[in-house]
Amino acid sequence: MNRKVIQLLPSISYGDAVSNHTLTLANVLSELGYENEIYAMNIHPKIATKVHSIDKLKTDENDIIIFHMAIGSPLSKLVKDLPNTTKIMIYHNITPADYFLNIDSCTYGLCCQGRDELKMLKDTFTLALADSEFNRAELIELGYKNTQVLPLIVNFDDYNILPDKKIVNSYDDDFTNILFVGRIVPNKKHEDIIKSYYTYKKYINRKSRLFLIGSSSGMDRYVKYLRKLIYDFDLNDIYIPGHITFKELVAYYKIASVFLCMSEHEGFCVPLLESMYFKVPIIAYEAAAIPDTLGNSGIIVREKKFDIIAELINLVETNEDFRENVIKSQNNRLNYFNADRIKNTFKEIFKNLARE
Amino acid sequence: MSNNIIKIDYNNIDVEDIMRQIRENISKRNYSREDLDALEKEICITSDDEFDANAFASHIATNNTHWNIQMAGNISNNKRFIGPLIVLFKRAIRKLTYWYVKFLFTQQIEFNASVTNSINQIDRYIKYAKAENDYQNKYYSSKINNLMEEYLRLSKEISRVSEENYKLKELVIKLENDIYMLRSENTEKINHMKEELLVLSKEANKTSEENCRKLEDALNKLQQRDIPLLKKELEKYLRKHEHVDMDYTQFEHKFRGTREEIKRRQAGYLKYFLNKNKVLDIGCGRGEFLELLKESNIDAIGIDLNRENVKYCNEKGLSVVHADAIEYLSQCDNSSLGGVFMSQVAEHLRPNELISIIKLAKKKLQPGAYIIIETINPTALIVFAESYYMDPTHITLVHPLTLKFLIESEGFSNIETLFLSPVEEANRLPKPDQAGLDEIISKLNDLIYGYRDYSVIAKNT
Repeated sequence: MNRKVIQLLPSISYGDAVSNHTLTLANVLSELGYENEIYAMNIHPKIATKVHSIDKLKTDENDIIIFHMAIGSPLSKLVKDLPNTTKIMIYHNITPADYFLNIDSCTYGLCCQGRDELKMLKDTFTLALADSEFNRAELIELGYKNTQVLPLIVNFDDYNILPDKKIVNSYDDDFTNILFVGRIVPNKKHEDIIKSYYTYKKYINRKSRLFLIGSSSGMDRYVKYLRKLIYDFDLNDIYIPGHITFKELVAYYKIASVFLCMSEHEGFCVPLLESMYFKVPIIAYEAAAIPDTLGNSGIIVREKKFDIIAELINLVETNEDFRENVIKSQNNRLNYFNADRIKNTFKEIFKNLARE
Repeated sequence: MSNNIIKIDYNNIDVEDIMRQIRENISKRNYSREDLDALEKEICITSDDEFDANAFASHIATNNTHWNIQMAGNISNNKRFIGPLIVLFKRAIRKLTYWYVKFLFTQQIEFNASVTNSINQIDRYIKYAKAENDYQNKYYSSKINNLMEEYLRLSKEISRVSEENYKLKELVIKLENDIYMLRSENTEKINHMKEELLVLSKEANKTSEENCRKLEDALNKLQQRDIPLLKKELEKYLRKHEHVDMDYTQFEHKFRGTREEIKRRQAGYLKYFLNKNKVLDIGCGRGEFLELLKESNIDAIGIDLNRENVKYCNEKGLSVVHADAIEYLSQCDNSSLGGVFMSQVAEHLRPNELISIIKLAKKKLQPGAYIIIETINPTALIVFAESYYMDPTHITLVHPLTLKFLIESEGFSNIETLFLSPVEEANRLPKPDQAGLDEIISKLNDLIYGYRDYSVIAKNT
């Protein structure tokens, strides 16, 4: 009789990396023959059937706990106090709170709280799994003892669907389409993407567009600031469609000429993998977990020199050989994130733990 | 390579070359240094130029008090002696330039008035617009709040409905399982019941057909007024149930011979049943032959109509039941018996009963199994003087040729007839010296003092 596995996380929705990873792990655990359940505080109605409310949590000490850590919440204390003998943390990283100063006091507070809780929890877990080496280094620095890297599991089969026709018909033309995918939050530095685009458009190619894809909920001030910037630069080919459907997401990757990431803080950055999958050349700023995820692929920029970034976009667009080589490097890197391989790694780690 | 502003880590790309291309391109284009420097400056998110309403109000107040410039101010000078002279001089200058300055002043005042007025109007408009905006804000805020509340309520409702839906789905799955289980259980039961019903209905049909046939026969006979036949049937029935009121076990003990003697006489039949199973001894009596079979490890069962005999045999550990031969044989499975042995029974049976037993035995015996029927030999006249009439339950005697014929006509093969239990030499006629007479005497002997018993032995095909 296998031990029961319980996954805990503060909020679960659909479309974000942590939620997707939680649901994927649930499937992997079922494949392994483990009875498993997910509990969360905030549950999006769309997945309410798969997740239980934390109020209903019932567990005995033999159950294995998997706790997803990405932000501060009352769950941290709850997990610390649970009597279970085997507890695993999956650390997705916590954004440094300062990014949210003057933008959203609530998120600012939760990020501060999260950092404090991360310190408090250092002796709670049997094993701490980090999405990237960058995340793992943080855990080790805080004094976590048993740590390992387990990249996020991304099921690329899910992306093999027909893209949204309207988007493809509207934008699949001779324009250069610059794409970034990620929540509109200050640590992702959308302003630097806008500045890069401004330079590229003004000095190199007027026939170009910028797509900033991602939810902006709770980030009104930041969005207002970005809009003002766009207004000041007098740019009219920037598209910020907010939360979109999966079909639309696939369509944006299909029409993209280049993926531009200026983010200064990422725990893993799933959109990099998505770009690799859709063969979109990546230009990314060297920060946080981004070099870990890219490995020896894509183009990494060490300084935000906008003329150089603009010229890089141009070179990728105009130099066919260069573009092919970048895409080839990304294809090789994508093999490393093969879902079955990572699932097997997880299975091995898990079997050993569950036996103890 | 690592000092480069860009990092590309694959063999077939030369970063230096890429950087060279980039630099060439940059130099070809008219990048504005100023523009790029401005871009590199961090723009502070909180640096919005906020509108200062208080400062604006104070400026307006100043405008309103100072727009009308006083052209003819008081000219004074407090210096002793020279003061009045300066005043006089200033007044003279003012008077002299008045015609020119007055025109400018008037224009300035007109302009001031117009600007102040415009600003006052703008101020009023802003205040009005702000009030309107505030009102609308308030209105839409309350609307948004209502919508938010409605949204939250609906979200909760959706959660609740999803949860219920989930529970219902689980319930449906459970019910489907239950139905499936019940259906398979019931199908099994129903099939079983169908089978039983089929057997019962077959039996019922058989019984009812039989009863009908019997009733029809009886009715036919009655209708045909075949009274003699009915009488005959009645007699037959009565005969079947007639009972001789005597202690037959004792009688057998006295006249049949000792068990050892019987066993010795019957030992010769054993070879026909070697390596067989389920041998049936019809009318097993005191179980002598059953005992012989048991000693040879041959599985056998005996039947007898005499309850005393059944009890006697059971006490001796022999498997014997109280049963009628025809009934018992009818119930046996076809081709199931390893042999049928019936010694000294045929003479107690009606001819039809004997025929029925032979017919049934043919059907129930395994192929290759033997039937042995031993009875009194009516071809020796002495049996009439001795055994036949000695036993009051004897009904008829069967001629060896008749029995052979009956057995043959049922399809048995390898039929042999053994004559047994000869009259002892001492009890026969003494032989005279003449051969002719001798022969006569011998024949007479055969006729009068011949074999007491005979048996017919046959093998099933």
